[in-house]
Amino acid sequence: MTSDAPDIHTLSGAYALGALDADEAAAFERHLESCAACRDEVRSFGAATASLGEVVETPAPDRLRAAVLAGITEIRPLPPHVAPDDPSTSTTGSGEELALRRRARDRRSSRWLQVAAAVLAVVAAGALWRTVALTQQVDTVTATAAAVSTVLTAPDARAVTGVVSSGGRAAVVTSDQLGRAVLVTDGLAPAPAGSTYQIWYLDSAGAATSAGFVPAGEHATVLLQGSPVGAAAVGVTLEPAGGSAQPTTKPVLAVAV
Amino acid sequence: MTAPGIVTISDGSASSSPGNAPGGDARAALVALLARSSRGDEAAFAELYDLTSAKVYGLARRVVRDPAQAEEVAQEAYLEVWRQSTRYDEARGNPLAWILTIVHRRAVDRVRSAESARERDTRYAALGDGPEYDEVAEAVTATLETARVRKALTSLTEVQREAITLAYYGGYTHREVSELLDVPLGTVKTRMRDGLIRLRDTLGVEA
Repeated sequence: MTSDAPDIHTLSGAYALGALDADEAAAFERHLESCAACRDEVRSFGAATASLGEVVETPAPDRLRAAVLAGITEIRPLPPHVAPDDPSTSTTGSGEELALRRRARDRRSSRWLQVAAAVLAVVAAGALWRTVALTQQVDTVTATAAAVSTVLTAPDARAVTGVVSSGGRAAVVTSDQLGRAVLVTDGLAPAPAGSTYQIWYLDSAGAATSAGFVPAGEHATVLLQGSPVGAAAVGVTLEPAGGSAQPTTKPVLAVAV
Repeated sequence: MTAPGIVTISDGSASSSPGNAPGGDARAALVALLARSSRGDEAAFAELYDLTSAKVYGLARRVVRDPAQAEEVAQEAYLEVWRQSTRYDEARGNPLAWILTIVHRRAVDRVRSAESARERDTRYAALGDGPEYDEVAEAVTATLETARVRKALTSLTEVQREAITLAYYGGYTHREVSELLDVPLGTVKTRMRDGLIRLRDTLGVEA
């Protein structure tokens, strides 16, 4: 599953057109993380696909304008990205630095709370546009975000949260109706060199089925492979790079779903 | 201002034919309106809406077909544009392309969502024998930009063009396209890629 098929590079066109299904798009995005040529190619297709979009015009109904302009009054535009503090670059511990690190940590946890709040708001309200609050947290590329919003806005979506023992937090949103689940992480500690975070569905007997991998990075939103239907819990373990057929370490996260 | 490898369309048309609309002025206006929107300027967003709504609604309508659903998709997309306005990065491409990418993603999401699943058979059936390309050609208006895109589309092979239009305008996955065109999946993948490369290069060169 993790070893890329030899012809995966040819998926760049289908990916740029939005023509991959959620699993394939997620797999291709994992490939993009390690393939600069495909990243460049996908970027280079952006203007071409957009010009396909530009040539279809239809006058919009007046009520759309009214609805949009009413809608924005209730939404705060996101703040700009600012250069992140990196506490790991400093090893000294003056009072000022400690205060800075604490503020950085606080910011991270409040960012987490925003994510969690967004997920819960979506679940509670079922309001489609609120997924924007979550999807903006998702720095992954478009197709996954689309599949993710489908899960988050499912009428039966449920969210559970947990602490990752190696550092960070995570939320799992499941929809039995769609048979899909999404894992959101925040402040996740980097996996040690040569290892990777692998996600599992666990049934009530404790049997594990791989549900994919958490991409590198402090914040990630992952559409899990396979269906949560019948799973009792979602777990995450540290596994050797490339993943394992079955968990080989104690879970760093386990939440009942 | 443009990253290497990114083909921007409006840059070129601005320098070659300033009298025709979709050039640098329109781009600069949208960039400025997005910047003001990111600071919460609702009047700026209203202007941005007026400059883009026919394209945004047109694309949503083209992909999802159903007018009511297209309206919802366009509304969701605009709210996302407003919310994400700070995140638009001029270095990464033209603002209209950025907006339309958001619209397209949401439109495709909509046609593939569970509610729409039951309509998929109808969409298949409704395809009939007329290639999607003809419908696209009918829908386009006679601006310079659309003429360029139409011309670029005609430079593709038939399979490339059909694969690209079914995927982009139809919202079909490459597997579905493979089935619709009765062409092996591997062929569809390479035709999509080859077609986009040709489209990219044709549009870039002619700009």
